[in-house]
Amino acid sequence: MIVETGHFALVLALALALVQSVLPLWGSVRRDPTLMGTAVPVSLGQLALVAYAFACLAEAHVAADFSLRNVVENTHSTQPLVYKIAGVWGNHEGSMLLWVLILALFGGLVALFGPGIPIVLRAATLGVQGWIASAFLLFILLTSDPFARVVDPPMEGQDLNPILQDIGLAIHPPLLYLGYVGFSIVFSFAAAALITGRVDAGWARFVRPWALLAWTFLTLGIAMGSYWAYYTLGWGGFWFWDPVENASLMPWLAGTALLHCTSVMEKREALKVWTIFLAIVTFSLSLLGTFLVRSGVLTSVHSFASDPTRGTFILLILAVFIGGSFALYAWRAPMLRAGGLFAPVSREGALVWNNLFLSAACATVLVGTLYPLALEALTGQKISVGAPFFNLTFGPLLVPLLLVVPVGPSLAWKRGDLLGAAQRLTAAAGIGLLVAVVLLAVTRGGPVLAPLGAGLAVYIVLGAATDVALRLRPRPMPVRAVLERARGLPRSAYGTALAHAGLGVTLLGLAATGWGVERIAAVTPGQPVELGPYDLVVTGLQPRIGPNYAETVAETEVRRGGRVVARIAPAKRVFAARRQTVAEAGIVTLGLGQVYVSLGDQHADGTIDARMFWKPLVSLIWCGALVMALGGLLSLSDRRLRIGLAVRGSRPAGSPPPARPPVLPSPAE
Amino acid sequence: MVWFAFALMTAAALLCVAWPLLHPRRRRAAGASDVAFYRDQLAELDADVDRGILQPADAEATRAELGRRLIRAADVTGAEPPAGPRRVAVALAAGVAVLAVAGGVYADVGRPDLPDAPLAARRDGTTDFAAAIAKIEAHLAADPDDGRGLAVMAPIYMKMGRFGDAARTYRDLIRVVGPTAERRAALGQALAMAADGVVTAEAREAFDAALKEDPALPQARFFQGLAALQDGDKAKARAVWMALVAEAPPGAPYADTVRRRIAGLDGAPVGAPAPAPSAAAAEPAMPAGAAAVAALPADRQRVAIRGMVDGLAARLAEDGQDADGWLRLVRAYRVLGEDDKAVKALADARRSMSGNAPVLGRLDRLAHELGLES
Amino acid sequence: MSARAAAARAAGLALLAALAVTPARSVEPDEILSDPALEARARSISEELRCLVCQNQSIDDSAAPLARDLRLIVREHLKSGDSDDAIRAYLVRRYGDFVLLKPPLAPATLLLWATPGLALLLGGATLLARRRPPGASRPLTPDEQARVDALLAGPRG
Repeated sequence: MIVETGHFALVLALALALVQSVLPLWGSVRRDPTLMGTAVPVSLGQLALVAYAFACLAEAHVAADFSLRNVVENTHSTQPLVYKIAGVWGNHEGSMLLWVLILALFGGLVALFGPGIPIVLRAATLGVQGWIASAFLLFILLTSDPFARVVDPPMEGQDLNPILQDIGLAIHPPLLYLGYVGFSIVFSFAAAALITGRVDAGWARFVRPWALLAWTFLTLGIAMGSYWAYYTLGWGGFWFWDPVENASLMPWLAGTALLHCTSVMEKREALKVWTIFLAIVTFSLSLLGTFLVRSGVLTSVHSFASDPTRGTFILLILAVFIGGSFALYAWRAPMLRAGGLFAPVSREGALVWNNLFLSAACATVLVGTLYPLALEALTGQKISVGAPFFNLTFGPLLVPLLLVVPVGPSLAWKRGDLLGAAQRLTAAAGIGLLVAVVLLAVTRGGPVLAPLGAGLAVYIVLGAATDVALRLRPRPMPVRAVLERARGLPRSAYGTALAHAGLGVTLLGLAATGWGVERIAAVTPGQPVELGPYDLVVTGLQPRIGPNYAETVAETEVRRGGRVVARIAPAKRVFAARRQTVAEAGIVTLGLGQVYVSLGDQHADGTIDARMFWKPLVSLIWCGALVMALGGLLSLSDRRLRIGLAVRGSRPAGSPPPARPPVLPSPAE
Repeated sequence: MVWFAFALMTAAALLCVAWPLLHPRRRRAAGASDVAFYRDQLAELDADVDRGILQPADAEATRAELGRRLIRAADVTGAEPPAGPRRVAVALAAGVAVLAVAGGVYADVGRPDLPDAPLAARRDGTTDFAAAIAKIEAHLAADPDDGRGLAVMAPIYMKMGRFGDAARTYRDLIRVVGPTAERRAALGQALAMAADGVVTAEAREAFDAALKEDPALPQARFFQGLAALQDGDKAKARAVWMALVAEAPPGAPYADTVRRRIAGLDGAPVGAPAPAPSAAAAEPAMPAGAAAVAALPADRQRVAIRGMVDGLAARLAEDGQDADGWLRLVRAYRVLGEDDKAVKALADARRSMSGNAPVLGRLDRLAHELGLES
Repeated sequence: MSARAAAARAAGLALLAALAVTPARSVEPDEILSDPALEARARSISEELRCLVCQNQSIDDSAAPLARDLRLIVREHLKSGDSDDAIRAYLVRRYGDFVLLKPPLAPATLLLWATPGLALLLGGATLLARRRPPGASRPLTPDEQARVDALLAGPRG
């Protein structure tokens, strides 16, 4: 009964989504407050229904209810609880339901926490969100129903794909979707702005927190996914330029550009047309990613052509939303008035530079991802576009962008002083250069890009620190005054600096991969293997039984100068239900680097094949992403103040204004 | 009970739609917060100049820009109508639409007649199945010749779809306790299921031995028919199965299955494996490396498999020295029902492997097993 | 599941069993060449070759048997003294451009390789075309100034 109520809730959610896509929009066009008033309760109702449906599916997975096909295909009764829950979204149907749940969640959040938003804008935004929800609910119910039933339930399920049986599955997809789908609300805001004709600094202020929230989650989601791939796939790589990864990177690049744009628009009401465009593009790329991942077009153009139901449906959604929004854009954008003026050398100018290169990088990834598909569909010619292509094209596009990262914040709005900015950054740039030169000299004969990257990274981190330092102490002044200013400095200024520093930290981790050490060998237990500064000794091979697998574990000591500094236990697991072998890498973080061991075949002579890595500073890649996300959250906390202020600003007339305006957080730093 | 829950949910959904239309509330004037926003931005100007993110010379121009935005925001304030009228007709129409969509779609996709089937309920909550199996397995590992343990586990492996384990256990059982017709037939079935429905030479031996002891054993006769079918001998398959159905006692659970197979003799691809009459719904276990493909929905699976077969063929055309590859390819074509291609692949394989006696032997055996020899 | 779907599924599983291979790992110790310089070249060539049966993996990363075959081919050719380019050319002759993860510059891939430059150029050109003179903005008129003052002094909201 629970299962069918969940199924029915999903159907009802579709009905409400359809109402949501008609009444509020109609109301906002006619300026009818009664019709617009439906937006909030209906989107909350839709959220409640989708959440209930999702909970029912999760309950069915946990209870191993094999009367659901989705459960049979992805659960085994012996599977640990956490993977039963994660298994809900470890498959096509469930992940689409999660997609729609997050879509409804963002709609619901705007309904709940958007009382400061003008009701016309809010109604139109929720209306557009209703359109997206309707399309995807229809997609789920017609082509990918997670509640499809099995009349005669089997005794045992098929188990979740062993590669997915990992804590990564529990965390990565929800985070990624919160980011990916979170940009839907920004898209809805943009479409609503075009429909209602109101595009100004005030609009940007409402959009920025949502863009920031989605961006933060997307950053975390991508980083988490990358780390998951790193420790699961067993050859130590963390980014493969796989189309599925590119599908999440593209919205991130566009979203990063968008984030910078909204800050310009909020503060200076400039770049309006471009900001709206980016808002549409960012979510369109999310949709495109969903299409790429969910339609099967990546496996092969032919497999898509021979089973087109799902693919065609998403393609249709894609066409309607991207085509529709760009048509709307082409129609309304020329009517937008020009905003604030600025000189080429200014903070706005630096952000335009940032946008130019981010967009070019995004276009490169987009074309690189779609080109083989398009070429094969058009001419039948098969080519591959992989990591070597992207490294060669994407990398160089990032360099001019990264060089300007510290410069932007140190320029003034409207008209900046390049010479002054250069002077302020002399120390950071000098130290960065010094680091690069020293490293080049020390590691002569080694990789060249690694020292250069490390120098650039140091420059970016120090540049971010310099920015905050000069903001707090622009001229000699007593400590108390500095502290006073530190309190007064808006949190978003700290957030920006933190996010930029995080970028530098990630870059340092990436650069250091050049100094990694790799050994592939048949290891004899008891005999040390040299790996960079460490020696690895396999002390024993142990068989062990897990809840739904059997494994061989290689107890391994990591020694340095004869002393044991860590123990790791890489393993090879055999999952009974699917008869699949999975290598569990043994990883230990030493300092900021990691020792990484992945097992291969065992031989009759007692040796075992192993792939061993020493990866100096590698953890910085993901630490940097965490720092970036932290910066995003810090800026967001500033925004919450701002939204709260807007609400307080509406207190009844007659109350006296504050004697002196307090130093308020400025949102646009 | 289900319908009561549906009605409750529908009522809640209708309330979400109808309430705001029937009880319009006065909304706060929308521009107010914008006025506050621009006032704050104006107030921040001095702090911006102090922090060096705005040059003093530009402060005045910015002040003028912000001032105009402030005026614009103030003009918008209060432009909204205070409260709208009730919209009874819209509420009715929307309500009907919700009912129609929900009813229509659910009628198409829903199965309100099917109850939940959580694992706990199906096991009556008495024993933990997996734990019990693990216990017996551990016991058998310590004492591999325990006849009772083997007799318990063999059919359980069968039901779980672990056919390889089932075959091994039946073999042990026959070795330890001694052969009976049923045990031999069960071994044959496990072997055939482990080969995904192909009655291999070893399976055939087991069935033949079983039928020697008990010529009426339905299970063995079913597979005898299947083996004939896989040899390409439709007539014999039909004869064996017809006899099986004719002699079946009334209400025999396998009779329907066999009748369907007979009916399918003229249409279905020859090699398509059938679930045996006694084997329940248990899904065949997944071989290693193929799990990713198996996770796909059936129709995409077909495409993926087609891709794998073609890829294998292409690879073998390049490099014909992969004996296992040839064996897999021949078998794959046979199961796909493309006998001409299977025969051609067999010929290619023999040519590539000429001089390699052991492989040629394996090819011959396979050809015989699949009934490809004329 | 309908009977037909069940039959299709069973047939699919039978095929999978027929095609199943024991999983291998990516680069295995027995493949490695004794000469470190040759081995380093083998690795860097391998990183740019696609495992033809995988989804977007290089043969250096892939555990598929075919990838192993290709790795061995690369190493055989290196041992017989072929240049990197000669090896790549040999594999392209055998498998087509599909085997290269970095597609060669050809008429069909011109647009692909031009994308970064074109995107920058297009973006830059648009920016230049839309550039407006930063000229001094108009100060507030006395009327406007009066309204701003009133709004600033007035009750909030």
